[in-house]
Amino acid sequence: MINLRKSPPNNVPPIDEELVRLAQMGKQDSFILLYERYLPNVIARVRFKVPAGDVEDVTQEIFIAVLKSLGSFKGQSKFSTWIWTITNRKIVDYYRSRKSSLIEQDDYKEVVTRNLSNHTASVDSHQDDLMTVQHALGTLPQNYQDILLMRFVDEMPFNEIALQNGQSLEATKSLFRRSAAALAKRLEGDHE
Amino acid sequence: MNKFSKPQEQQLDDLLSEFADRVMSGENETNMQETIAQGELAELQKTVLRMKAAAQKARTTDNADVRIRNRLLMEWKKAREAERPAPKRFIWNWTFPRLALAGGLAVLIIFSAVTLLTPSAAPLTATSSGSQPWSPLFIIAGLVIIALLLWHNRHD
Repeated sequence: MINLRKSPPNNVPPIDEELVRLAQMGKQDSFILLYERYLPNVIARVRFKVPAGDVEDVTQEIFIAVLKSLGSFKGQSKFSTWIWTITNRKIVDYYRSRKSSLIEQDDYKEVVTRNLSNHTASVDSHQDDLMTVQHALGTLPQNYQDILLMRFVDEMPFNEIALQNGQSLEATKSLFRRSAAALAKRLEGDHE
Repeated sequence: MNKFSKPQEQQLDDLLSEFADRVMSGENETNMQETIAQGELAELQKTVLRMKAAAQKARTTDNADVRIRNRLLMEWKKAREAERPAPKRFIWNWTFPRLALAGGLAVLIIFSAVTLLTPSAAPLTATSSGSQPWSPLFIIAGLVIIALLLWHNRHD
């Protein structure tokens, strides 16, 4: 006899936007599911930008901000895009709060690089590849860092990156190759 | 100056992007190592593999996930409590106008009760001919105060 019953819906993980809707209705479990889904990528993004000692605090601040502004998420953009916006804003806030004076974008880059360099200096870079890559990445121009993090940490496909950056797919791929080349050069420099 | 012509540049862009896509889709790293090209592309492909490995390491949460989750659960509870309607305020939290209105109403009720219920000294035959001239005024004043109280309650 053919079983016409549909397979249980549990087999298909709910999409982000559905979980957000349920969380907005007060379902705690849905919010925790979103948290578990995004924590590894958020913490990785923070780890590439913030000194190790502050990674947990900044990550926590990001998720608290997500929780507090969840009600304002209207689904006009993808949830993943929305959470990356919050993540980046919180990272900028972190550096802004560390430096009481107004930080210009160039200064911000300088502080990020210095902070990560200071941290890396205390670790033998040859023992820890993550630290080496972190350090090398921190010295790259902002748009180079962004595209590498979007592809490898946020796991965004190229067409999505192109859409987010308002570029053509060709331009995005070209930027990606130039970024990878710059990173390779910096890594080579670190190695020497 | 670029070493490659424009179509060659574009081909390199495509090849590297495709390689990155394969790496990110979780293709076996050993297989990927075998497909590494020669020359400039080889160096970039190795960088892609290194970046992927670093990103993978950066995803480890150690015990932070439990600590952050506990803090989030606390924040969730706080947010839910803040959303609940505020409990009805007791009389000592009333604002002055409402307190004054309620006090006035109480005085009016007591005064009218005393006035209306006190036995009159007038002869019984006179009671039916309107011996309580104040009663309509008490009733109107009471209704006005109740209306004001209700209005104030709505705007509080």
